[in-house]
Amino acid sequence: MNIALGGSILNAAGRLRKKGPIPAAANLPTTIALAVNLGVPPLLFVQVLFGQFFYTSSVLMASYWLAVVPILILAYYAAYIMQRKGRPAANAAWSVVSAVLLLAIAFIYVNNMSLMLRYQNWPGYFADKRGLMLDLSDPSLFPRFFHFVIGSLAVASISWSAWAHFRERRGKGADDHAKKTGLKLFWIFTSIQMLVGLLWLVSLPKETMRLFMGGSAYATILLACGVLMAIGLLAHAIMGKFKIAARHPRPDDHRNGPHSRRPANERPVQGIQGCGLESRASVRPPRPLPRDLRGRHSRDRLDDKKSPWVRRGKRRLEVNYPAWVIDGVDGGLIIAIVSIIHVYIAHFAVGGGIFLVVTETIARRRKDAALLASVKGFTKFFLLLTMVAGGMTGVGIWFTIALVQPAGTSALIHQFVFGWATEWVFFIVEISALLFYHYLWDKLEARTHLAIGWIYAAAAWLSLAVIDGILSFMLTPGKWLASGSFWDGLFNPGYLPSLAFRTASL
Amino acid sequence: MIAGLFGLVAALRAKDLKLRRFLARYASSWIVLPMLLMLGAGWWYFSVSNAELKGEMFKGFWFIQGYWTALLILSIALFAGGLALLIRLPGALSPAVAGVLIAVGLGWMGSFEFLREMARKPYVVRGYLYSSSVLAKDLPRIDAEGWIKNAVWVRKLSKPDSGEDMLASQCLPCHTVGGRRDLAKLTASFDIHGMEEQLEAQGGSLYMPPFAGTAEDREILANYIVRAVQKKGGTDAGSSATEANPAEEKREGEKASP
Repeated sequence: MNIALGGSILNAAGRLRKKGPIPAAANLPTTIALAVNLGVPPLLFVQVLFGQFFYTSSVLMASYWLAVVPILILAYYAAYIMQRKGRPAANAAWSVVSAVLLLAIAFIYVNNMSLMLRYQNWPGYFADKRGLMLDLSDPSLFPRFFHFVIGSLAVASISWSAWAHFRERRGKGADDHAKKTGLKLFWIFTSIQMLVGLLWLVSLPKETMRLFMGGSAYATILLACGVLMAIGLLAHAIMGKFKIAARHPRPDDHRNGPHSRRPANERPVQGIQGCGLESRASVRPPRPLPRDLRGRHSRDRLDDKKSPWVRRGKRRLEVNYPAWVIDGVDGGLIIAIVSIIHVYIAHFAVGGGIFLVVTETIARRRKDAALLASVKGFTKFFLLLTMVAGGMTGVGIWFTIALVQPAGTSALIHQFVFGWATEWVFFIVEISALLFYHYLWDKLEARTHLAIGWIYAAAAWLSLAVIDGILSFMLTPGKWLASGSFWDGLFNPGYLPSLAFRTASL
Repeated sequence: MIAGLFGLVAALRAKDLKLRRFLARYASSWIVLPMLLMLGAGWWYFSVSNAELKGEMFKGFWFIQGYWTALLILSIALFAGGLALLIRLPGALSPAVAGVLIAVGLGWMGSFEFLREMARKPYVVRGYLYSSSVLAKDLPRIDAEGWIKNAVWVRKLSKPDSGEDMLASQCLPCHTVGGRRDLAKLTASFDIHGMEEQLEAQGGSLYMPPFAGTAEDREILANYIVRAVQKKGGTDAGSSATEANPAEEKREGEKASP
């Protein structure tokens, strides 16, 4: 996520300054896909553990929260569009669009994190139920936002160096300029990051801040480790930069020109010294934990009389979430719009995978080059439609149902938490296989390529098979009503017929 | 079927005429053949679900006829379109034809999913959670103790405020004020008394969840609907309908409250 956000910003900045795209710009769409995919488990588990905060704060800012989905789809497509050849001005504009949209998502996310923690602001809901609440009054909102954004720039910078390093190792030619620029930007951003971090720490509520200043050994040690590692990384980055500078003097670099302190023929250093550290570059000064993660204090907080959702004594009833009200539109319609688009594309994502690999097999058997070329061209269309619009609207359904029916979503999440987790495993296999299938089309042997295609088709169908259990469960929960068992719920009476019907309609 | 619909795009992209005709036929076979399987699977799906719901799926759901009709017509359109391309006219494939077929497919998917969602009413999870976010097992307790007393997201000090919050939680998940399933229009013929009766009776309609709460809660909500919602909707029918026969209102209410 950091590489996607920071990389997009750096890329847009580079384009605007007419320095061209950053070296790894072509990978940005893939990075966004992976960031979204890897964001699914945290989204699942935050709902499992902190639903009472997460659903509530999401509903309070529902309109913005739901906007994340279309914004993400646009940002994602923009990241593809900006790669077209021979249109530098338009591409620069698209790269800016992509970066700005991703920044907007970051801002919405930070607002949700902030709203989640500051429940004293929640009664603001009653004044306006349209889900337009942002937590702009939180003094730590902007420090938090910049801490995330600048951190992402630092991570993206170091990944830029690492990218050049690994390319060199694979014998794709040295790019010392990329390595150096990445390291330079890394230490600049990390230095700023430390200042912003300090600002954030100061802007936290006093009792929270004290925890990091010795109030809680755990929090203090974590913060101290983070700061120490950041200082270590800074030193490392600066040293590494000099090492590279000394390695191959470049004619266009005055500091390392013929008057460089070191002789040009000095034995080249293998890579950046201690390059193993790059992989640890993502260790930034830790962000303070969500307040309610802290054992003793979270309990104090739960007993807080001001908390609107605490009910002592009797079992808490499930009339617990605010309702999102938009004038003239009912929640069901919003779910319908998002989910029908998703389901249509997602069915194509499963059936289309089978279509692709079967057609490829036919083309290869017949040795029909024209047909094979058609399949290859179709793969790109398939990837752009299913992975971007299909995948993102899939996450979008989760967003939507959580806003419209938090209680129902919470029930499904808790009942099927490992069903969802399993589905995610198939999902990541699916998108990895698709990326390999598309990008390595000419580089793999026919057999291997077909095998990857079948892996895609199988994983995609299996993800349908899992989600179908949860979907049909809602209509025909069957024995689950009495037993409450995961398997009774998943393999409910409607499961197989529904799976058969959906498989036929793929 | 859907893979075949999008497969037409691959045919359109082929420049060579022979390849294009081949791909058009090939993709159409992906549309038509699975549809035969779908017929059987769809019937199985419907009968199992209906048996599970003790034959009450869609019982009393007078308002879903449109979705059934749409599903039927769109299925026939897809089958006919696919068959025509497959057997007689692979050359007739054009961007417009493919676009229309893909759009019909989207409509088909939409009507199917709408039907499936409708079948669940008045529940989110059948037998477990109502669409008004009330757990079925909590209903007796809420009816005895009161919704306002138990709910978290409700202002308890002023009755109109409580009514507004109750409306948001119990009615607006499916209804709107001034839009789809407009409450102002649907309740236009009710006075406060009629509204209370409607709320009391609505659990029996098979598609609307029962009102959760005590008689006092009901009164607060009915008051809010008649005084605030009907006004917002721009009608003053609330006061003019006081003479109507409650039994008639009830019937009307059931008809008019999808």
